[in-house]
Amino acid sequence: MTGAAVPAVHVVDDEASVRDAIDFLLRMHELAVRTYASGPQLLAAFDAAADASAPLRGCLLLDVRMDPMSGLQLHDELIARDNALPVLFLSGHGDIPMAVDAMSKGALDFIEKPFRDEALVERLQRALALEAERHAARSARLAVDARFGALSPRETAVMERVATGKLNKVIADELHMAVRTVEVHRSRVFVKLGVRSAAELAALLARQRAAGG
Amino acid sequence: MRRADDLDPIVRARAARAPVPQPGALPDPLAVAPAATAPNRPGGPRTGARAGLRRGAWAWPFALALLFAAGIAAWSQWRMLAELEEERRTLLADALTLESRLSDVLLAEQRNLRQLADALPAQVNDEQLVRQPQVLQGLRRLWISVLVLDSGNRVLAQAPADAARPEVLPGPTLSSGIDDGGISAHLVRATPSGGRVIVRFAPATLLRQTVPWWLAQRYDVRMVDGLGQRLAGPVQTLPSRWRQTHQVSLEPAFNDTYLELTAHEAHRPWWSTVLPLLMALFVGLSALAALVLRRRLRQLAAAESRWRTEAAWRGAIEDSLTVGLRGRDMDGRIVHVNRAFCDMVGRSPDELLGATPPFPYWAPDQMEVSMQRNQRTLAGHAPREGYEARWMTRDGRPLLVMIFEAPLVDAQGRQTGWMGSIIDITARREAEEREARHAQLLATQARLSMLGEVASALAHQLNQPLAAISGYAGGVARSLQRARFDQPEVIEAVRRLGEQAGEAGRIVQRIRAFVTRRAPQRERCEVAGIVSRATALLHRDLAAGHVELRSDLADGLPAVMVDPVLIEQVLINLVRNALDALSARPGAASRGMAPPAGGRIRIRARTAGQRFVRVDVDDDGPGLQGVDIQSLSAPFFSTKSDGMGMGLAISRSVIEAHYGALEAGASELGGARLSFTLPVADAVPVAPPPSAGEAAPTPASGSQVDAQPQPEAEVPR
Repeated sequence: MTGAAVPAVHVVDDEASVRDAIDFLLRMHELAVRTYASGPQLLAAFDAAADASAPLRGCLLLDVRMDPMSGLQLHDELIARDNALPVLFLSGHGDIPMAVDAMSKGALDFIEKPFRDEALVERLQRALALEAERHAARSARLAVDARFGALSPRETAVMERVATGKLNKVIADELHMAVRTVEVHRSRVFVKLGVRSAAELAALLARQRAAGG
Repeated sequence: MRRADDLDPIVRARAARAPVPQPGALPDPLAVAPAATAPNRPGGPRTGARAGLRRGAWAWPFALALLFAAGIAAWSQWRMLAELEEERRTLLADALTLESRLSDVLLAEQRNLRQLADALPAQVNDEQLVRQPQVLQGLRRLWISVLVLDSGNRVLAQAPADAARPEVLPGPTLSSGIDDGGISAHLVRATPSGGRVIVRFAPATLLRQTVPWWLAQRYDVRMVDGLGQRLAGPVQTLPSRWRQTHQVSLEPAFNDTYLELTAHEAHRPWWSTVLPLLMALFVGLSALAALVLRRRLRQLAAAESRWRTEAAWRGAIEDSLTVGLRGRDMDGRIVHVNRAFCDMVGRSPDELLGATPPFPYWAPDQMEVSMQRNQRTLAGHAPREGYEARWMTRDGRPLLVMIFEAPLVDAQGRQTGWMGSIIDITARREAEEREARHAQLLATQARLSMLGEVASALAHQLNQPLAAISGYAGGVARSLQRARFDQPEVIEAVRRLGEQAGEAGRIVQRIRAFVTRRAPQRERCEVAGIVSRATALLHRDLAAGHVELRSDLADGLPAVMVDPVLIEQVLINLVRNALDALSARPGAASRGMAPPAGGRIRIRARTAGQRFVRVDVDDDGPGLQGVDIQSLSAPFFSTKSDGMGMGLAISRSVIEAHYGALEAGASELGGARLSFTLPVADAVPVAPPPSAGEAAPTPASGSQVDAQPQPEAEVPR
């Protein structure tokens, strides 16, 4: 399934007319659209994609009032599945407490029906851009992780000490090895991680740790 | 509730002065006689002496009777003594008279005897003696016997001859002794020869011959000697006080002899007559009468005491009552009031007693109806279940009272007036009104919350298709642009389509927001603008129904402070209702395709007071047929078979949230009139909202809903 990798707007609404209208509108704006008639239907697709190691891309547009699973419940389910996609709510009777609740749980936006078409399209485009950005960042982090994973334990120990700015001599003392050996490990780490200086290494490490690596 | 502080100083002073009912100051309950114009207040406490006198009054007749009897007795005694004295005088006179007569007789006899003695020869025998004229006469007269003794006391002769010779010769003087025929007396005379002549006679005979019959009738006449021995006369009885007696000496005619007169009849003392019996009877009867009187008086006193206690009780009860009591005579004049009544109307009893209709406590604007009610009461037609009246206290506060009238009947069963008990229901009525307002508020809340539910559901249902429309319109517009479609007005139309869908959604949102208790978004706007926008929207419907809509807006209407979207909806709703009413007219439907006769609808706006603009929607349809605004605006009430019954309910809530009022009534066009009022922009109150009475003038022919601003709407958010 190559489609799994294409960023799309995933529309969940139990009202067929609304679903169809949004689908039409977004397609006219050259956006990829996938529609789902209910929450469980989306969850099934979400799980299937995750199992196939080709998770869904794009953003989610959820109607609030649906049967059997409301938009807010669906959101909770997605949070439980570590959903990384931006979520937008579409409500026919938006009320403030519900919106606040949804936003506090990480929803990106709350759009009231009936919507103005430009506004809806614009927000969805923004959400897609955000997702693309996040996706890129995630991919990059994963690559760095792979590089860090390629280090041997000894190289890792040397690398951590280099990142804190210690001199080779000090590292040799701490690890009970010859200064020369430390130098070899150091150059190998630099090559494997693709950095050219201790400062660069420290920045990379800090970024990686901040991302939870 | 009215408190004592509310009373004027006079009444308060009065209330302070007479807090405890005093027996003496109790209003007389029987004072409701027509003549009595004021409660009869008996004087102060009477003294003990007077009370004692009153208690002893029953004894007076008895004491007088005793006095009378005593007087009679005294008078009788005096009379008796006087009579006794009189009798005694008579007795004395009689005795003396008799004595002198007896003495005369005896002296004459002695003379005769002397003549005899002188004339007797010395030697005389019996025959000679008898032949003596003196002897003959004497024997014939009085003498029993004559004895002649010689000087040696030998009997010489005696006459009559057979007369017994006395054994013992009497002395030379008169002597008396008992012989066979009774006591006899002797007259002795010495003869010249030295002998003696003794004449024996019977004093009884003497008395018989001497005492006149009338004396003998009155007295027992006796002759007694010095020792009290009876010589002659009837047997002696014991003299007593009541048998008067008197002795007179017969000396010198008869030595040592007394004449005794004793009244024949004993004097009867007054007490032995029938008089004391009569007196006793009189006194006894008096005593009986006194006893009866005493009993009656005691009963009276007991009854009076009971009555006083009862009066005191009733006085205390009356004074403790919060129910006012008002007694009136047959002319309607007030003759009795209790304290509660005085407190109620804030006037002193002096002001009220004697007052005649119109009473000072009648409300000035109620004079006529009060007078009618008064006439009705006096005619005896007061409703038994009581009636309500509006009065006024002295200081001008209104007083709502409930009056129950009952006839006052005196001891003879005649009606003397009317007693009314009056209950102050001002507080109760206020509470009821408060409660009613509260209930109305609650009903409004309930209506709102129901409307909120419905509107919420409605909004959701409407928003789905609106969203779809919006989406399709946006999609079509986009695709046309992409396809370089060369008719921009089509693109524009499609864009408008989306915008209108959005606008529809906005209206739904606004109404929903309103009924889910969000303040309307007020702004200053012109009534004319609202009316023209509404009529523009209604144009097609009016044309279809061949209904003529006329706007009649007064010049120079002030701007109003309202949410124009909401008020437009209200106006549209009212006109639609009128349209529906016109098309539902009999005849309108039956003509089918033919153009209906066409009704008339008129929108008219006028100022109502300085603070409101009033908008009337009139039609010439069938009218409301007595259905009032309360029913009309109840949720789900509809006269239309396909109506939801929400229109007027929402309209009413909208108008009331604007501090206005929605009213329904009859139109001069012949059909219904629905009106609402809107606040003028420059006079719109922020807080507090106008009271119900000021909110809108009430049409005489319509039912009115008082404006009840929602608490939520009062405070701008």
